[in-house]
Amino acid sequence: MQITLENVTHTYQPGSPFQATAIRNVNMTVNPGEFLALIGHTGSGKSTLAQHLNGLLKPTEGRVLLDGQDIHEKGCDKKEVRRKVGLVFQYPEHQLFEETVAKDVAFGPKNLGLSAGETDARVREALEKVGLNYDDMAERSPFELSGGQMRRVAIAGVLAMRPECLVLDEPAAGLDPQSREEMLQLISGLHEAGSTVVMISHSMDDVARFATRAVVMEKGEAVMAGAPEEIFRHADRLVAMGLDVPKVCQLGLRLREEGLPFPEGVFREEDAAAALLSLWKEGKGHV
Amino acid sequence: MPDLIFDVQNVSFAYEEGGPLAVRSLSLQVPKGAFYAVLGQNGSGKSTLAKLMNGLYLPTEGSVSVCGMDTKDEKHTWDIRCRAGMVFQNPDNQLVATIVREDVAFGLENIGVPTEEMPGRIEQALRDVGMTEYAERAPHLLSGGQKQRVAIAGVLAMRPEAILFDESTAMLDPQGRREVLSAVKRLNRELGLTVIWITHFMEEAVDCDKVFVMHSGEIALSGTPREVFAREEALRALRLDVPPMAHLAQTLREAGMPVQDVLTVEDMVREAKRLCR
Repeated sequence: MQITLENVTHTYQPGSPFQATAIRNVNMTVNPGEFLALIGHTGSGKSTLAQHLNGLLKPTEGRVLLDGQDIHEKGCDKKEVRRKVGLVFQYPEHQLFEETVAKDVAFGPKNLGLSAGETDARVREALEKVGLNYDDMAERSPFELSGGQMRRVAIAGVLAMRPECLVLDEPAAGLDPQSREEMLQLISGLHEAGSTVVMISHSMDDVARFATRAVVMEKGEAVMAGAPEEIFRHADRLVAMGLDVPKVCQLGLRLREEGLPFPEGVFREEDAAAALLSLWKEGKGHV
Repeated sequence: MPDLIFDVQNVSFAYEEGGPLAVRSLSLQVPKGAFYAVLGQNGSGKSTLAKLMNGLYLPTEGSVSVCGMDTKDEKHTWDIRCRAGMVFQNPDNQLVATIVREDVAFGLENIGVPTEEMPGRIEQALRDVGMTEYAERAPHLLSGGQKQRVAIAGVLAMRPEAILFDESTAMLDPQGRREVLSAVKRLNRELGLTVIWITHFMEEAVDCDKVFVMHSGEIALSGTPREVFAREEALRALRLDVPPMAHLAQTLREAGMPVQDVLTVEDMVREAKRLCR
């Protein structure tokens, strides 16, 4: 499944004194099976963009195409679009509302009109996908769980719709280090199992580790797109936009400033370790 | 000991009588001017400890004193809250007024500061966090980092000895985090403000004086950042992490490259220069 944005502009509250254009003339494609990272400063339009991917927001100008079909055209089944493209908001645990975990996860499939048996099967499957045990969790109140568990339940609610593409807005924000890592591994596992993933993130280290491609937003425009190695080759541009770059890129920039021949385009820890070890071994060779 | 700002002696705390202990037999002394970081996974007792340290919670056992005043002594309650302020996680839950200046004034009104003294204190507090030019703005139009700095100004205006920061950067973007942490470091360095910095970001702890790692309501590890972050395995067992450069250093050591004492990018640059020429 492919999502294409054609010249998408979105203006909030047009014609009012609060009129604000959040994204401008964005052209981008989400390819089937990729792990796409959306990065950019707060206010750069990432979340607005994400909400166009499943038709929650309608472009003020331009079109959003799902496998070639304009999702805002008459005759396009919006419900089906929202089922195919699952959107997980920031702090999705704030949206839990049911008495039990099972009921909360069942909310979406039930609204699809599925039978009780099918709904229950979906709930089991979705909870398993987020690493929660159905028998332990089903009858508990979502509000007595830990923050990390609550977030998993919220994501299970989206997975229960069996989306083909999962769009996550800062899924690891506010979690402790271990829960963060578990959340990222969970998303990476979903990607490996065939889901298309779009993830908004402020952590360039996470982007470097997991994304197959990244789009950089600045002031409402998509200003860079490419594989992480291409994006992080322009570390200086990212820094100028007020963004972080992976710690390893910062190290590379500084080492080259100091005159050490540390290669460009290194942004993963294991590659940095290899590069430093080879520099060290060469250095020893000269002594 | 006149120069102790916080003296936590053997404190245990349960939210309900007879319930599980959120903090157990914990002792901690914080001298004036210190910058201490508290790390630990969710539910390890960090926030409970912070709330015990300014008298929002009272110990079930043991005692907490702030600038020599016992938190159990009701006549000191207000005084303690003025000496040890607190800044929380969510900037949107802490701002109450429609203009930045009035938000900073809120605490002052509550503690009965004379009206003529207020403008001076407010100006000073906003200057200390670099928010002077935003004094007449509406708080809800500020960035997350700016909102947190206004929240800090509101506490500073009360002229505290110490501020407890309970994951005050958790909801901010990288730029907001840098903004807030550098403002707090400056307050510590220039005004001698005592800082307790609770965080999930290991990197935010690398420059502080001491690190305390909490687990199950106890202090499981403590020491200088270099001492604590050298114990990667112990930290992982406590569901924590080490800063990225410390992790890289460990990988290099395992491969035989003798890098030492690395927490930051600059440390790694120093070691690479030493070993790779």
